[in-house]
Amino acid sequence: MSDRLRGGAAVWALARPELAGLLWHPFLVGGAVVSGFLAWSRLWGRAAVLPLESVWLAGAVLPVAGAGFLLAAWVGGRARRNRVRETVDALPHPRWVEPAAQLALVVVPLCWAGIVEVGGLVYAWTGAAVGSPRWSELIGGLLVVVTLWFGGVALGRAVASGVVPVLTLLVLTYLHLISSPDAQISDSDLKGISLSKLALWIPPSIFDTPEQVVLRPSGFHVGFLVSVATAAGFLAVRRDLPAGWLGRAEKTVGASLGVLVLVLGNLLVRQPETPRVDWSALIAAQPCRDIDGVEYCVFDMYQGWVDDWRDTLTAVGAVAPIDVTRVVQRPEHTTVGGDIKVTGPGVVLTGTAWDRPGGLPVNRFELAVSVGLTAVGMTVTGDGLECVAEDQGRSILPLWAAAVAVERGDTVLAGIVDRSGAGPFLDLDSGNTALGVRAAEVAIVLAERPTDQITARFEKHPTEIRDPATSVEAMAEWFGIDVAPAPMIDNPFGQPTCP
Amino acid sequence: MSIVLVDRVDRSYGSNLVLDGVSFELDVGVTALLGPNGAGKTTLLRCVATVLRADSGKIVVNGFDVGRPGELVSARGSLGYMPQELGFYPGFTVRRFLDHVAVLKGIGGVGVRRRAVEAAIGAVGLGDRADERIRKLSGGMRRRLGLAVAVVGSPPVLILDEPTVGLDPEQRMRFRELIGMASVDGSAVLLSTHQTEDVAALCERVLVIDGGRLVFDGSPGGLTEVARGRVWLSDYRPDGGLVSWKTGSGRWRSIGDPPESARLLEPTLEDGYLALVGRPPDGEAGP
Repeated sequence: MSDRLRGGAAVWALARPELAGLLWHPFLVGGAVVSGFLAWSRLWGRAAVLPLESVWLAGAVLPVAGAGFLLAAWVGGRARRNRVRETVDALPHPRWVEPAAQLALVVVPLCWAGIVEVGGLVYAWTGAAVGSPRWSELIGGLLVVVTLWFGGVALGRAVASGVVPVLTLLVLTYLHLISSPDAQISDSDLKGISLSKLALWIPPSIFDTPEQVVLRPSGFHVGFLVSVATAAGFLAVRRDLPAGWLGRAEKTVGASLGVLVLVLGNLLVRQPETPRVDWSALIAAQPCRDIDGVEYCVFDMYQGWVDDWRDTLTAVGAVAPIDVTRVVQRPEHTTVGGDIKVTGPGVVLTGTAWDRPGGLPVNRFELAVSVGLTAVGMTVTGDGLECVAEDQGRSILPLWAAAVAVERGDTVLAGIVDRSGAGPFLDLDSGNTALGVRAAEVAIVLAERPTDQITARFEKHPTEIRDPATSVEAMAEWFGIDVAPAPMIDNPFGQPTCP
Repeated sequence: MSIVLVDRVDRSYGSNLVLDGVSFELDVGVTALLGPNGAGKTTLLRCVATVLRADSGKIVVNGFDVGRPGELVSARGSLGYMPQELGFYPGFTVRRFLDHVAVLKGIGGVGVRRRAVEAAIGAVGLGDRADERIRKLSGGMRRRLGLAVAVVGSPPVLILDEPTVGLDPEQRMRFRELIGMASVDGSAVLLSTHQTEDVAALCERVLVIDGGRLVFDGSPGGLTEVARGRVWLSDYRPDGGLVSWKTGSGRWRSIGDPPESARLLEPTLEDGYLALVGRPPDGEAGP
């Protein structure tokens, strides 16, 4: 039997007894818990947009990768630290067997990372998810784990100090932080070299939408990661390769890897730092379709949510005289000037987030309020606050309608009121209009009463219900509810009162 | 044909020549390597154990020339080495560490390897501690484990660097038994030691190295004979001589020229060793 074959069997024989012990090592378990928390905090209660969640899931495994880096350095430096080299060097195995076995142990952090990614993906997939997973992102997350494990083994075998791996990890973490498109710590460009593209994992901008994510250079990045991981693995075993093979390896593997990394680096650098979506073109191409007399204009990926939106319209329409002709999807946090604005009566905007079935229907509630606003003559003119309606009694109706039309809507509204504190404005994303806490408090009381009774009362006052001059206090009196008088405060938003 | 051949081996650390043309052959049996501190014992053992390359000369183990890359692995496969400074993975159990070593020794097949490990554990008497983590073992037990590392797989050559250092008398006796068993099993054992009692009890052959050169190669009896006619007992501390020390009876034992009114004594192995490598105190003439 040749040395190579014997060595290959020895790699497994050495690695196998370590697997269980390392799997439950506190470092990795701790990293996995943090990773799991990151994944959970992103996915919990949301309907997943799979391309975007893929990016976040890949990022969520970074704590596992970091913990793996420290553990790999500990494993790699074990022989040196415990003075076992003298014994091991006298043994007949090919010397690369032991570091190769240490590299093979990467299956342990990969197992945890896989659990986080697959678990997160399964959870996301089973909850009204739209779009398709970005496999290159998910693979990229696993490759970061591999890269850091290999790097840790190489570092542990090269450096005796236990402090160096910790410092190295801190530096890596810092570099990743400053490579984020949103980081204001420093400029991530250095003489035209796009540092963020050379980071192991490219942090997305918090403003990134799935459309922007699609433009991330993931295909190149996977190649970059494979190169770096291979180089790290090579470094870990380089000194222990047979003398004859080492010469060839340095000339071939090293050189080709170097070239590959440089070429990929150049390719990455040639790309724009942060690719941006041409929203004007995307919006112009946004497909629209008519359902029950309402035109829904939605990006392709989100077609799966249209039925939910229609159900919400129907439910609100059953309790309030809504006037909706179009439901238009616009990405949040994107400012593209006038191109994104939608004007005209009967238009309702919806975003790129939706609620997971069974979760708290926050997004559904917000849509319901936007729909309800049309029943009292308030129109949507685009994203961004345009007017305030803190003491307008008409704002009670959309809040009440959303509370009764949406399952657990009253719970959502109560939560929003709690979150808003003393107010006076409600912490609610309801399009262009800032509503008041006092109106919401009245709506909560009304939601506990029979719907028919409330509807009948509103129908008795068809004019006043739409009149901006009708105060919250006045409308509350219709129902025998006492509310505190409107506080005399400055309008913090500087916006006019809604007409 | 000898199991180990060491032929004119030189080794330097920088300008310091540590081994100077050392040559000897080993066959089945226990051979002691004696010498003062810094004489080159550990360097010689490390060269034979293949963890250190000789600058020149030839070392052949079980027919394999360790200087040839193609034969090095085979030579190592014939060796069991217990270094002076033992190193273990403290988180491993005894059994797991020996299995780890057995894998690296190329002992193939799970069953074969398991039997080899159990045999080594049994040989050093660690059966009741086999599943204990190494960090919990006492110093004596760790030395036993070090011997188990060397003997696992029953290699034909054992290189043991001061295996009994730091052991209490009972443990030393146990070690003598273990090492003696290895030679009975057909191994060539080369052990370095400062304990002449161990040599007298175990070894049929003694090598003495001093200043990097082999200064004696013979039987323990032969080494004892080096001091014959040069060991004295006197009432007063002798002025000359190589070494002298006060005995429990209050009289002075010395090696070298006869002190005044001294009585000639029967030499021991230690006397022979001291007569060979002993040096007079500073400022005094040699023998």
